[in-house]
Amino acid sequence: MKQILSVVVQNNAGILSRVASLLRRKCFNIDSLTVGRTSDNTISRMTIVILGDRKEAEKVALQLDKLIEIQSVEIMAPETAITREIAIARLGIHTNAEEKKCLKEVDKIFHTEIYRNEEEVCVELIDTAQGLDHFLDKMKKSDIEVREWIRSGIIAIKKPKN
Amino acid sequence: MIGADALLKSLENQGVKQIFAYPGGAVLPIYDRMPTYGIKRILTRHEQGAAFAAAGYSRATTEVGVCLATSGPGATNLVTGIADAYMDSVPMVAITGNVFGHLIGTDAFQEIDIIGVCEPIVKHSYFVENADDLPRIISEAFHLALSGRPGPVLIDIPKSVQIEEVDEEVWKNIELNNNFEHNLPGYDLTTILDLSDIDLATDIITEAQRPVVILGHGVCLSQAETALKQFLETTQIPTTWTLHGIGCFPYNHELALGMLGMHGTATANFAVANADCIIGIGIRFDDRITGIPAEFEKRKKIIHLDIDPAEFGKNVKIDAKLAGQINETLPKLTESLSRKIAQNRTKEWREKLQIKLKKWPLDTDKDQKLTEIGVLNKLYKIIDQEAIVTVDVGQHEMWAAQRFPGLAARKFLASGGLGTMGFSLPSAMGAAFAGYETWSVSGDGGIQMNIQEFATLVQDNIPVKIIILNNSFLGMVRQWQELFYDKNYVDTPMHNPDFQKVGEAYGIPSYKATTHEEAEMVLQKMKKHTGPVLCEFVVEKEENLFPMVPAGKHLSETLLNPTDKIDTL
Repeated sequence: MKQILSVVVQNNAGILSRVASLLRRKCFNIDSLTVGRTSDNTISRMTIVILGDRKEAEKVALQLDKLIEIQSVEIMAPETAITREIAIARLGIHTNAEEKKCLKEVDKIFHTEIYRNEEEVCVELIDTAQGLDHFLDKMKKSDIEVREWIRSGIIAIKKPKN
Repeated sequence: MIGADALLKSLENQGVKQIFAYPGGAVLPIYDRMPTYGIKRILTRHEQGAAFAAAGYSRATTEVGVCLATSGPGATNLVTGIADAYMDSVPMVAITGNVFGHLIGTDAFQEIDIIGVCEPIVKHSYFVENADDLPRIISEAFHLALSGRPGPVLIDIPKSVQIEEVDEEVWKNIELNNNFEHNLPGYDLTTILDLSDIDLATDIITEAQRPVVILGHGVCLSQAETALKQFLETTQIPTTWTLHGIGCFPYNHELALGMLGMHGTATANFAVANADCIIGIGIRFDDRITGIPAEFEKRKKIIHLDIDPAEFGKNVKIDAKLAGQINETLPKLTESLSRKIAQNRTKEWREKLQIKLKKWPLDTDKDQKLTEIGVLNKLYKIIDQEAIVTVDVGQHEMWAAQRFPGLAARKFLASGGLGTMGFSLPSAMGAAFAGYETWSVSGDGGIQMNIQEFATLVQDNIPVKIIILNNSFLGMVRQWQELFYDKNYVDTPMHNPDFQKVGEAYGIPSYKATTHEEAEMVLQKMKKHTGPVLCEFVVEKEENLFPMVPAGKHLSETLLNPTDKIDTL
């Protein structure tokens, strides 16, 4: 089970290392960790995805909260959060007709081509983590040659209330 | 005025009277300016000594002890002392020099990333980039070290920052001791207080048939002794304490059961093993008192009062929690209970425990030969009521903890969490600055881990009374080898120097005692002596410490001696 923690941190040097060190020494299992600036330039926001149940997430939150430079920690329930992740993949181009058809299919569905030369095409996808799982899985099973893919880890923001 | 001035004047502004320090290349600008300021320097003979001395001072006074070391090896030598302060929630500020700013990251001579090294063992740390930031950082560091759950704060200052000119306006504000605004938006102690479980806790306690209170360091740290007394008088709940809870509650009170844990009293262990409700006050349920957490939790409700919300449920499952300073939360619980609780409800339980207390007294000294128990009993009889006793780690530590319950809070100093040999002597050195009669008790193993500090005691005439209990063994490890490793005494027999001669060589008046009569006579002499003084007590080699909970066993399996266990309920 994945748990998302949204962590507001002071924009100080070394804070990433403090968080990483804490997660390691308490043996918490991280699935992904992203960090970036926010609309307020004195703070950054970390989105930490851990593997575990709600109890585990609460333990992580309490430990993180002890770090002086952490301003708030929120465990985000999936229904209250908007989450996104980026994946980029390098796909080989072959003359194989079947594959060409597949690539076109990919293009048509996702409009994702970001770079192309004679040998390769790079595609990107922005979606929920599950959406990306599904997409990458689908490509793996197709005739397309997936040479490499990377994922960014998710970022999350609170869903505006209705 | 330069960064070094900003540092020293800011320390003065914090009320720092002395720092425990060792010079070196990367702190020379600070040393150069030190004589200008009113802070006494204690030149220890190893940086570990400086860190333990600072922690000893903090533990004995509840003020912030300060230590300082140079970069590289100076800084890494502080690490054990910082770790010890972290484990035991001791407020301390450690200052290190570092290489010039332009050399940081180049693996320069004596450069070490001490911030990185200490990441897991500090409450917070600062790498100072500008001299003008120093007054704010010092002010924040002292606030962080002392408030909330206390802990060590590390400040690493490159040499270039130490010699950097300070802005005139900033210096003026330092000189006027003006407040420097803190930049700690993530550190808000007002949000910690949480009494939402108070009704639940009240119900659990009122319904309990066999409740037990466990007291810990948090009671001492928040100086909640009075609040505690009122709570216990209202509830009439039998009470035990952890190693760091010694002195929070009168040991001779009818509710007192003695210390809990691996070498706690048989009655305290019996009570906790069979309780149906535990009220943990300022404790962290560490493995030395719980034994096996899963067993500990069984058949009982647990209520936890602590300042650190991360402790709730960390080691054992709890049923109700009260977050906040003990002296804030406990009176609220007392108030809530005073309307509901019937004091005579626990009468039967209390009487049962009284019978056990009589049945299982601590081992007395019946030996003709001099033993550690014998020396400690004699020492306990003659120490001042307000005396400070520091101990190392091992058998003597536990014998002293069992036998010195009458010391006041913050007077029995031990390296509880980290369990550091070599703690006793340097921590006594720092604690002595609290102004009370100070005794350092060590074994022949521990004393040699920081024996170099004899020189510091002499140089600054620090009145520590050094007791060396020499059994020519690492006694605790030897006992485990005897009981669990078929007496395979690998590297526990010690070939020792003549400690009396070592003491004399350093210029400390030194004695040796081998009999009960000699021991009594020498202790009297030591008591009267005004400066540092030492005695080596040559004691029985293979004395064993009981009660004992074997590692990995539950409190109900406490051994009274090698063969007999405590009763079941």
